[in-house]
Amino acid sequence: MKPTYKFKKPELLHGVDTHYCSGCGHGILHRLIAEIIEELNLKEKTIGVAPVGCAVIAYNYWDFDCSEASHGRALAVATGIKRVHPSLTVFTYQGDGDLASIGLAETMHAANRGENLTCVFVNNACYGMTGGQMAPTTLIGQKTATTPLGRDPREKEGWPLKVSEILAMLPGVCFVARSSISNPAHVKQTHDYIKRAFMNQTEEKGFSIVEVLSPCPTIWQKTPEEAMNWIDTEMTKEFPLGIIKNTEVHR
Amino acid sequence: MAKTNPLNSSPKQKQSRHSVTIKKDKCKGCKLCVIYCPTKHLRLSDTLNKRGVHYAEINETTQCVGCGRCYLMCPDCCIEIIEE
Ligand SMILES: Cc1ncc(C[n+]2csc(CCOP(=O)(O)OP(=O)(O)O)c2C)c(N)n1
Ligand code: SF4
Ligand code: SF4
Repeated sequence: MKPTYKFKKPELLHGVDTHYCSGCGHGILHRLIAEIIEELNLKEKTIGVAPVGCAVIAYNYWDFDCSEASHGRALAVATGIKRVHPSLTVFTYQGDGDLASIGLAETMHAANRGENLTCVFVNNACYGMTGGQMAPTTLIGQKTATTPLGRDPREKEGWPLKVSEILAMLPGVCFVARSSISNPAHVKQTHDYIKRAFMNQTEEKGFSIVEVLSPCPTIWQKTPEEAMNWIDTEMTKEFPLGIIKNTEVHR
Repeated sequence: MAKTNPLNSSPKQKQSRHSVTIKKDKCKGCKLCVIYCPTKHLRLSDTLNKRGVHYAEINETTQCVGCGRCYLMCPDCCIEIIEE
């Protein structure tokens, strides 16, 4: 008899080993996205755009079509794909360095144009891939390779950039939410938000973005467990969780 | 005496309806499943897997309640839960 699975790896996630560090949040998010595309039956109707950053080869892990964008340009590439193929669901998967630093212009303008796109924004408060430099989202006092004494907003580094709150002010943006993956309940909440962000696109509501507070145990120099706790105790103070905006964009 | 988990301490304990499968050599030993399992049904092995890490394995002394918390937290999708 075939076993009945209560929890099973989504078909759209290849079974291959990922290059991510032990306890990295990217793995959890890849699974959530595969689950959601499967649940919404969008396999043949989706194109993902991978970023530059640790998730640069995300397309190796998903069994649906993907493209790669140069650093920060994922939403510009996604805009092009969506305009050529308006019937497809197009999403970007981007880190905080990618989306909020080098790609801030592309992010702001895609959102401001109200492109009917879905954006998954992985905030791990650092540049993971390049060895842990400060990101726009690095917390005040957080030590990174480029802020060895801790981020000091008054000295030279400025304050943590609240991209989600800023984007929520733009009329073209219909859905903005921030969640985390620090425990099973938060993982489920993140699943629901990202699913909503995909459904908004199918319903042609406008630009949707979900910011996910995600652990980077390696750069944070913490165990995976400590990293999850740090999200709850420190990151959520600067980046509170919840829906920031939920409307319909009238075109 | 060691504290027993009330979910597992009933004398009339039935065989659990759920079983956990773990892809041993995919596991990176992050321990998140072990930490979030409410019945302590998972633990890290004493031996190493192909990756050279202490991998998640089943602790036979307790039972799985099929909550899926380990599945939800596993970054490498090594865990699946079968329902009888
Ligand atoms: C044009 C360009 N500038 C800089 C880099 C170097 N670089 C690669 S990844 C990265 C930052 C990635 O950080 P983030 O987006 O937060 O992703 P993470 O690795 O943390 O997941 C940078 C600066 C690059 N690849 N291309
Ligand atoms: S450096 Fe950080 S973000 Fe990159 S794979 Fe490792 S844990 Fe994940
Ligand atoms: S499904 Fe729940 S009870 Fe079973 S092993 Fe996983 S976390 Fe533990």
